[in-house]
Amino acid sequence: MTRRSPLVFLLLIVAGQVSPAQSDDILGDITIPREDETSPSTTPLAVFPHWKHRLYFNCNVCHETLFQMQAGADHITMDAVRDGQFCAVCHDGKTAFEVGFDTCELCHSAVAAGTP
Amino acid sequence: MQWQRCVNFILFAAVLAVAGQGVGCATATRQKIMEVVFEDVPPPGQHKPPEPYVGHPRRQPVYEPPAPVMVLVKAYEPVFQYDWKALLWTLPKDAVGGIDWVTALEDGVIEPQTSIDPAHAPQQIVLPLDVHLEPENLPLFKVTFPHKQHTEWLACANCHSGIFTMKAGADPITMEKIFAGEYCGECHGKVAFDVATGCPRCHLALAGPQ
Repeated sequence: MTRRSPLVFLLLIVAGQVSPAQSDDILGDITIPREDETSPSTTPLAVFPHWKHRLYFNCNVCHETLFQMQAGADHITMDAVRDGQFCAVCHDGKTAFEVGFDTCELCHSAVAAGTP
Repeated sequence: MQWQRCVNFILFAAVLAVAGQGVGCATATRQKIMEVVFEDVPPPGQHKPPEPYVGHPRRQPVYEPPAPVMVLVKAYEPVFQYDWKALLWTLPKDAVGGIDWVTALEDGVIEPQTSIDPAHAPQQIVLPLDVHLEPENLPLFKVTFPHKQHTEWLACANCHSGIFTMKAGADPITMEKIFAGEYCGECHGKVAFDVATGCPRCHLALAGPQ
């Protein structure tokens, strides 16, 4: 019979609490690159969290009428979104939160490499 | 050190007192003292055979995640403060910690809509058809493709005939191509469960005897 030290128990408890799914980066999250890569903009890139959308809608609601399945195939720009295309079909303030200046960071939440 | 000696003397006296009472006192008094100190002391004159102590297994699960709260995701409320982390915690997980969407749907944890407008939501057409794909001379790696779990999410046109042809066995599907993002790899490993860790979910025989 082995006796474990309290330290090992503590480590086990800590390890048991940690789940890989608790990470912020979930399978299916897509970071949308900037249209113009030379742009000096410091706005964080928009992240599309697939899993949050799968909770509420089947795949065929968006694919492939609103978005193509191939990542990067659609040229999603803020101008197009403000015109009511792509994300703004739902993100109009009725089905989901509106695209506006008080909701920027809900999508533009990517942490750029090298920034604290 | 005066106070240290004093403490030592008091301790010694206490030990002497307890031991002396236990040994030298009357049987009834000794019994009382023993009952205070030890558990399950037999009455005087009775011999109690020692019972083997059967302990619980030492390896208990260290932490059990809370049971998923059923039917919590019905409709999105456009609020800014949404506790996504708590929501993620309640979703069922697969063996490697990813979200188990099939179980979530089967258990009714989520009820995804079939249309943006809930008032005119069409019925999702579910096809209960299993396609069996067996590589030559490798029965262990036979793949069972369940149409049911896929059509609960997707429409036919999402896969046919852009990704897969309509004829079973017509596509030259290999694991190399799937890892390269073709065929199943168009979704699996990107939004659906990972190819590298989800082997027995397609190759059912790899899961072992049920």
